[in-house]
Amino acid sequence: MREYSPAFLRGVDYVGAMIIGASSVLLPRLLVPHGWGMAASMALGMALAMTAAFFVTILLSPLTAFEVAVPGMIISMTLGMLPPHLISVSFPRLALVGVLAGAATQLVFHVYDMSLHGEVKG
Amino acid sequence: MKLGGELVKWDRAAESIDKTAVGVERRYGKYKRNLFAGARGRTLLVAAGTGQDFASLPENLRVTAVDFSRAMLEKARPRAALYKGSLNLARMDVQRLAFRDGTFDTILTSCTFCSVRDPVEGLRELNRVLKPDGRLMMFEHVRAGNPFLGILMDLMTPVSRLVGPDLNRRTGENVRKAGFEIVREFNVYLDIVKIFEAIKRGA
Repeated sequence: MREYSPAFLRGVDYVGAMIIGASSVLLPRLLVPHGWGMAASMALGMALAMTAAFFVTILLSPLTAFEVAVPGMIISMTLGMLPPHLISVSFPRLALVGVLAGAATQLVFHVYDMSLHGEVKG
Repeated sequence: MKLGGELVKWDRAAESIDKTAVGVERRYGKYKRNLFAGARGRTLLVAAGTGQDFASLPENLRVTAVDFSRAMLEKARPRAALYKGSLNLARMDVQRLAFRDGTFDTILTSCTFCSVRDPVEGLRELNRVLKPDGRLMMFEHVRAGNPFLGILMDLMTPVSRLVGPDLNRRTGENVRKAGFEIVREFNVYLDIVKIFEAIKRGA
């Protein structure tokens, strides 16, 4: 099995989160019908985003385990519900929102992991 | 062995588990190797799977590796032959181990108790076959302590269980319920991927 540096693997975590972020806003925007009610479009958006997150996680599974799956779950659940509220936002801007939100969420998990990693006292 | 659907699921998984476990090995392999380096004497490896963990075992141990899936054990056989020590494979359910009380000095688990049907029963069985001064060493993924993440893992588990393990096992609590005392707990990723080392309570 080929070994990779921790920095490279950390980069994979961020790239994975950013791809999930972008697909979590773009897919619902493309596929959720405009005439649907708020609750239904949010639910469908979330389902689409979570499906996308699942496939990105599988795609990256040779390089990652929970580091993309867990943040990806949060990113897709929350961002997937947004597009019905963002009809007026252009696709590039929406994609940027998704990428930045994905990276920010991964950063939060990175810091959270640093606070928990290691021996558990008491 | 009344394992029914569970057995079918893991027999099927034997075909693909080596590929899906690559990321886990890449990320956490060094932690597992460090843990297993502490194994001493007669050693039981529970849920051997396709034998990926054999390479993480220190040399010259006397190891018995068990799994309830015949398909997994078939895949494990060539890897067992490469081990530099004594390594025997046996088909056995962790909830009903065919060993005498106090047989093993060390018991190792690796992502095992996310899948055992009744984890406390399985862990009680490990307690029974562990020597009074023996040590249980576990590398496991568990339910997150963070309430929000924990609830998400509860929601995802019915889906994950269809093809693989549960995501929301409270393995630390189960280890204590089964009569062990946890003497070391180490967070590998968040508080989801963990190492536990335990001894028999009162030992």
